[in-house]
Amino acid sequence: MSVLFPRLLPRQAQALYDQYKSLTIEELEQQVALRHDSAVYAATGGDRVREKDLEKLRQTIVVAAREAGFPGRSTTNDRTDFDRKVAELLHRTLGLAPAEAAARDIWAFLALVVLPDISFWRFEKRTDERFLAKDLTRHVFGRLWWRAHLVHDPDGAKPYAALRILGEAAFDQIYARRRSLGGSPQLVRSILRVWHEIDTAGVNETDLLKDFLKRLLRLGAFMSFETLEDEQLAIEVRRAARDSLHAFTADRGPRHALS
Amino acid sequence: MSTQAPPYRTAPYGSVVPGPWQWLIDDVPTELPDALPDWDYRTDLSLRQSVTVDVGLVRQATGLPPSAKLTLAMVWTASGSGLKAAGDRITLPESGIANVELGAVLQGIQLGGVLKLETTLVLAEYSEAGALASPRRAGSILWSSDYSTRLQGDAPLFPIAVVDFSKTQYPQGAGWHVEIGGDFETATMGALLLLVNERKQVLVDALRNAAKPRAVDRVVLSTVHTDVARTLIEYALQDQDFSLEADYGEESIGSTLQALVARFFPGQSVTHLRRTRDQSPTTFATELQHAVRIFEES
Repeated sequence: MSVLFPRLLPRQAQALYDQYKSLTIEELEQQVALRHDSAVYAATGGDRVREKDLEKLRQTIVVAAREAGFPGRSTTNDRTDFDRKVAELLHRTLGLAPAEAAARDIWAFLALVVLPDISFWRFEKRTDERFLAKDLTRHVFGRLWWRAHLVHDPDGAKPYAALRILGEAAFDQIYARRRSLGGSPQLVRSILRVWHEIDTAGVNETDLLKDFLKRLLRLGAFMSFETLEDEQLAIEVRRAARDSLHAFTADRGPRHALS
Repeated sequence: MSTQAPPYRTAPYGSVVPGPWQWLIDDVPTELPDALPDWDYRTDLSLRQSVTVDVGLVRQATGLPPSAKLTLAMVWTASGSGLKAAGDRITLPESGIANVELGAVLQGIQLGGVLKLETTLVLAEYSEAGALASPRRAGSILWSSDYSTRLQGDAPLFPIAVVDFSKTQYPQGAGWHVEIGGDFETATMGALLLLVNERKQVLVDALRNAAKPRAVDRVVLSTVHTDVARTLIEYALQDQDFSLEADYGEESIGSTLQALVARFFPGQSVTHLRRTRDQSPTTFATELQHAVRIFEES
């Protein structure tokens, strides 16, 4: 059953962001609300989220934030842990249909109405992309839900274990190719599994991942990854990863063979 | 789908013959239409397709031996969610004619927007046993065909929200407002929203009756349709970066706007349309009414 969330329309979201960006965390805590007069729901089917569920969601996220240092300063590791916990939490408990989760306005509502203190604590730089969901891969909460959705393995003993494999920047590489690679949870999980196996010592990981994904994109022009069972898919993805790794290793080899 | 020629031999025309996609309602099959106006997230879709494959002919043409495993599979893509996954994967016999029943039960919660169903014949496991120029990689596409259906109907190209305008920044007396956000690459389903003022009862009634509209509802719906089309097209034209040639990606706002412009003003350039709108806005508005066939039965 899909749950519909309130949508905070862009103009109201922008107004709240402009108002909030100069407030302290304590002042933002005073602005917390579970509803907004101008929020709307899409008439797409599904039940509207109950306020008590929004309250519960807020409380759980606040607990995770406190463990990571909220309202004070936090380390990079603290924030990474917070992101992982919240990614799983949002995906496991919100009951959002993916098509709903693609609506940017619901994320603006969560970030600016229900959790403004947590949102602005998480991203001290306070650039609008983190709050207004202009780009879901950048939004404080939207990016976490989608990350969890794409790595989620419903049959696994630990369905969200793959959240630990890739960091934010690396995940963005996959998500940015969402139309071609990142829309298929089976393929994303396979990419993550294979990436986890690779020994990247001595190689620039970001460049290697980019090359690996480019190879998969090229193969996708005449291969249908989704038609394959997991094992066969892993073999093909592994082959592409190995080709990338060889290319990178060869680049670092001696260049004087013919001289 | 890419038009790139694959670097291997593929299945010839006529070696795979797909039947129409069937939609099972209470186990009773009916042909899947190109739009399902009453669908929502709560509706799962049970689908089936009969496909005949001349396996011998496929193997002969591709140079793949009987030991090479071939699979016929269905893969679905939903533009609303941006998700893609497989339904049935059926292994084909070594030879002969195979009559395959492909199927899948798609969870409504995963869908939305345009649902594309691809039927694909692939080499299912890596094989070096083939002849010269035979495919080798698992997943190599030997044959493919697709069919699309628009979920949520085609009246709303995007979600509608009925809301009291007195609680928004929009004037209380307005009937509707088209919210458009993001750049041209943004997914249409996530970035467009038609806000309808709940205080305008005649409008709310017309939308509620859209499946079986009364005469008055038809007039209202046609008016809204025309105005939304005008708003979207003007939105595109006023942005100097918009062009019909750009690749904004499937089901993006950009591609939706390109499709609208091409549908309502076939063969006309964006430059020409911009000029008409700037130099003679009233003529442009009238031409648009003509293009969308205002007040005509659809």
